Amino acid sequence: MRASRAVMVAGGCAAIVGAGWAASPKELPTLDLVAPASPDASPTTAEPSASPTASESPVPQPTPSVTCEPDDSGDDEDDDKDFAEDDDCAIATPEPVATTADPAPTATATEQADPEPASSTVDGPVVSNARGDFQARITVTGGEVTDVQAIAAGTQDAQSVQINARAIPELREKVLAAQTWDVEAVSGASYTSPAFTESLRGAFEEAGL
Amino acid sequence: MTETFRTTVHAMAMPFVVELDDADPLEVDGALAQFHAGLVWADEVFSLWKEHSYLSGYLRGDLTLDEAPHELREVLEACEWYREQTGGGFDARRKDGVLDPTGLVKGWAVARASRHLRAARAADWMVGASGDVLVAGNRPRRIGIADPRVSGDPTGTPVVDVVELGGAFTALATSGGAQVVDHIWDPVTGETARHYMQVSVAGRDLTECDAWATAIAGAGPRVVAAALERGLEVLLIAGGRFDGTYDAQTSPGWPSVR
Repeated sequence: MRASRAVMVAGGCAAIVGAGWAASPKELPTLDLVAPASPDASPTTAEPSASPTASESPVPQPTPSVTCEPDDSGDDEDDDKDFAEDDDCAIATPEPVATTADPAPTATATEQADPEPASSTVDGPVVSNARGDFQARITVTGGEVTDVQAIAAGTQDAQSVQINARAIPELREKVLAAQTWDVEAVSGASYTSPAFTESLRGAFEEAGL
Repeated sequence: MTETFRTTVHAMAMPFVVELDDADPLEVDGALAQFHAGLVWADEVFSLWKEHSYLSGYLRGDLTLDEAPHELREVLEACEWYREQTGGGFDARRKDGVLDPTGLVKGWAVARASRHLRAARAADWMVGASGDVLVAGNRPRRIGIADPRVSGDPTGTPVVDVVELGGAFTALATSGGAQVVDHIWDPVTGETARHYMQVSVAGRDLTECDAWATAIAGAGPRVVAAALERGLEVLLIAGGRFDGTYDAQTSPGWPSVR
């Protein structure tokens, strides 16, 4: 009797532990660093030029989705789940080019035959502190920063990876929204924030922004 | 006209630069030999890299403190004393349990061996010991503090600051990861300390400066105030900036001459 109860208890414990294990997240947060290659490498072309109408390439591109959402709310009742089908987004992405009075012919916002809004990437300087080296890369399209990436961020240390996986995207959002390198630091990332923004500062300066 | 005699002696796997002003030519060689012997002796006693040092033997349990030179007990007690003084910032007990007084030994050994330099009857002298500098006399000396990004011999590379020693400040110690990467641990976490890129401490006692520089590098901002209370001056290099310069803090009395 006692033995069977012990078996039941043990089984119950095993089931709980097993359920917990199954429900737990199995992946540590990671940060995708871009390769410090030549400035006109693949990230440039992959970013805004990939035409939003055709869904031929499964290139992960977070930028159009970000630029879409605010523009989208008023004039389109399209289901927002699929940005690739949303033709309003196609206008939304190049729209800033038109509004900033860019003299280039890319101002034809409705015309998708011209898929190359002149964009360039600028790498900031490597900025180091006690938690490693940090280097930012910005993508500039028509005088506007359309993407922020990290070429180097901290060390391979688990804590460093974990903090940067959270802080870098947060800083990226802030920079894209404010269009300046001088954004508020991310709480809990007291080493990443100043170093990354300093690198951004160098990149902004070099890009003449 | 002062005549400066300059030489380099090697001990503890590092160079020690000695400068003597107006030394007695008959006494110089003997004084330097004594100085060198003092450093070599300290290495024989305290090296963790030498299997047959007294410290290694003591840590293995092959000999007791009473069988070792009394200086071994002195240094281990000094480590303990500095651990209390720095609020745990300087802690010779490593994460793996080994007692590692290396953070204190160089400064202590230089301070001890430099007694022999008096025999040379120099008006002023200076010892430069890989990041630690000890001077005597009143002649002001300008010392450059190396860029934390430079590894290897920093001679001729741009400095981050220049300080003046002699007079109120006779000792300068610098700790950081430029030459030996990640060799300072945080006594709280036991992991590699990552608070500052480089810490410099100026004062009058090289052992004290060395211990506090290590303590601040290891424990971070929380022990800085305690160092200032003891009349020490600090230069803390926090991190880089976009134009290649540094974010740094100095205490109000930092003897910078830049």
